[in-house]
Amino acid sequence: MGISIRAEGLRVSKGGREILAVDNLEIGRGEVWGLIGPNGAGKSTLLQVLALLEEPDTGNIFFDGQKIDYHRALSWRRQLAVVFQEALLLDTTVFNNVAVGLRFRGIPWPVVKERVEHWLEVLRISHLASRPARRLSGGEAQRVSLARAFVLEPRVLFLDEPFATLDAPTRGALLEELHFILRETGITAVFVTHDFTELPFLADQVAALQGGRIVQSGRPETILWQPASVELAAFVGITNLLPGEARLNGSGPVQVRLQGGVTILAGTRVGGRVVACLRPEEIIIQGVTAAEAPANRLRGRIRHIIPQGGQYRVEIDCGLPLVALAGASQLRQGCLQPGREVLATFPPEAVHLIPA
Amino acid sequence: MEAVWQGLVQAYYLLIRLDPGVMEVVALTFKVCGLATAVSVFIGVPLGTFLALKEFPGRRLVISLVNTGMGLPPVVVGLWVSFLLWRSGPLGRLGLIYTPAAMVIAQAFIAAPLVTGLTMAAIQQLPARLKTQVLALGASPGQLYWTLLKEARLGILAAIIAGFGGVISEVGAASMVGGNIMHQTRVLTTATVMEVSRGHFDIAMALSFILLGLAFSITAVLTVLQQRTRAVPDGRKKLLRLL
Repeated sequence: MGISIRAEGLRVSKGGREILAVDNLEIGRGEVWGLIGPNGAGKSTLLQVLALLEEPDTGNIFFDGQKIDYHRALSWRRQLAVVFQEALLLDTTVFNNVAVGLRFRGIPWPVVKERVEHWLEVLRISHLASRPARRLSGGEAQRVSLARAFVLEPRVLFLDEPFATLDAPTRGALLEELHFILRETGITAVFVTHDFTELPFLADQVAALQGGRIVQSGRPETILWQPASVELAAFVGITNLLPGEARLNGSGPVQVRLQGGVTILAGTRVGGRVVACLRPEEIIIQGVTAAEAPANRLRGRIRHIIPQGGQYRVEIDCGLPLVALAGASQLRQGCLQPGREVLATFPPEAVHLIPA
Repeated sequence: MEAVWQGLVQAYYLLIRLDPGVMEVVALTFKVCGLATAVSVFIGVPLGTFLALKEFPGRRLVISLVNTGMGLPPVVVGLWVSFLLWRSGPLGRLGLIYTPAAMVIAQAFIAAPLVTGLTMAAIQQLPARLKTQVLALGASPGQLYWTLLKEARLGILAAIIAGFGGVISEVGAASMVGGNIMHQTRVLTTATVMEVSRGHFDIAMALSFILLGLAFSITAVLTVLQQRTRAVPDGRKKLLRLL
């Protein structure tokens, strides 16, 4: 069973600069939280403070309502586990690496053996048990690192970009396993990531950090589709950030006159100077002869098509630059070619406005 | 070359005959150097670990002093330990001057900075986040230190080898505080110097070969121990085989 965590008034300064300033953060029992933000946002510092590995200059942490004294935190620390980006395995066998935390806790050998063997099996690394840990591949080492954390049966699991250095298939497989284990065990988890695509899959809640402060927290979908700031919008992959002037129009959709004279309808009810945020995957590209969309129908010409993973990034000049994503099948049909005239359509609900 | 050859032959006969005088000197050398190394490890390993892991006011000054100590001339150490242990000195009433105990003290002063400095370097060379990772696994402060020491064991064995090398090779401090007294404080280095001053170059050469053999044997044991703990990556093993 997980632990609830509450942080109040956390402040951490290094080299005379404040790198963390979190006034309030509440993580419920069994919740999975993602911490996102650009480099230097304070994500890893917050994780280390919550994991009782770094004492804040000021502020308090409460586990299940009990205030933590950092100088007498060993018993609490033994209810937590942390997985870092580098596996940081000890210079011994895989088995001993997984067993080390249990030995620190003085767990009897038969129990150690049983638990280590169980988690080696769950993470499909039983065959590596007697292998020196320093000879493993990146994916194998990270599996050992996860086994070393889960074998402790922690009540809170902290993960600091655990899969950042792994190749895509290994990362995908480990994410799936992590998702399954977290749901099965019901423990509280906090993970730091640079990759916003991991959020909807793993996290129940997300805290977005910038300059050491939490600038927005909420459901992953809220952060990805309705970010609170332009910087955060750019960070979560919103490539269309269009400055304009919004006009409230009774109870109907908000009209936004974008720079360049194009007018679109938006779902957010904000007036005045705004930045319209539109995710590229919300834009549908059609031929100019397609049936008319009720709103937000922009005619333009394709400028570039750039391969991006399994998809294509299509840059369209509609009097303002728009970026959309297209699948390979659309390209094969031949309707998408540089220089071709197309219609870009998107629903008003897909347009989120941030006051400028 | 003649003196070298004579020395080799002399060393062979001294060892084959188990010459009591030589055996006594070898045994004392082994005892004094072993004890001095043990004392320096006892002081240097914990101190080096502490300096590597703890931040405290004046830490840089202490590290500078340790680094200076790594190059301390043995005669200076001999002189200061003599001052302390002479009958008129502050520790004179202990009656340690010209005893093997005084030699152990002086040699430990020479080896301890070496062991401390190299232990500190070995711990500092570990990945910066390893300490945090070990703490995150639920280690108590004692478990943390022990785990990091085990991880740095290659470097720490190198520190011990350096410390032993420092004491077995020095002559200045040993003769100043020990006095090179027959059957009491005569060790291989002081005996060699004495035989040279007497003009007995063949005996001096023989003693030097025995000293070299002793130093080589002990260092070899430590080196084997050190290299056995080294994990050679598979790719490197293949490369070594090709070479």
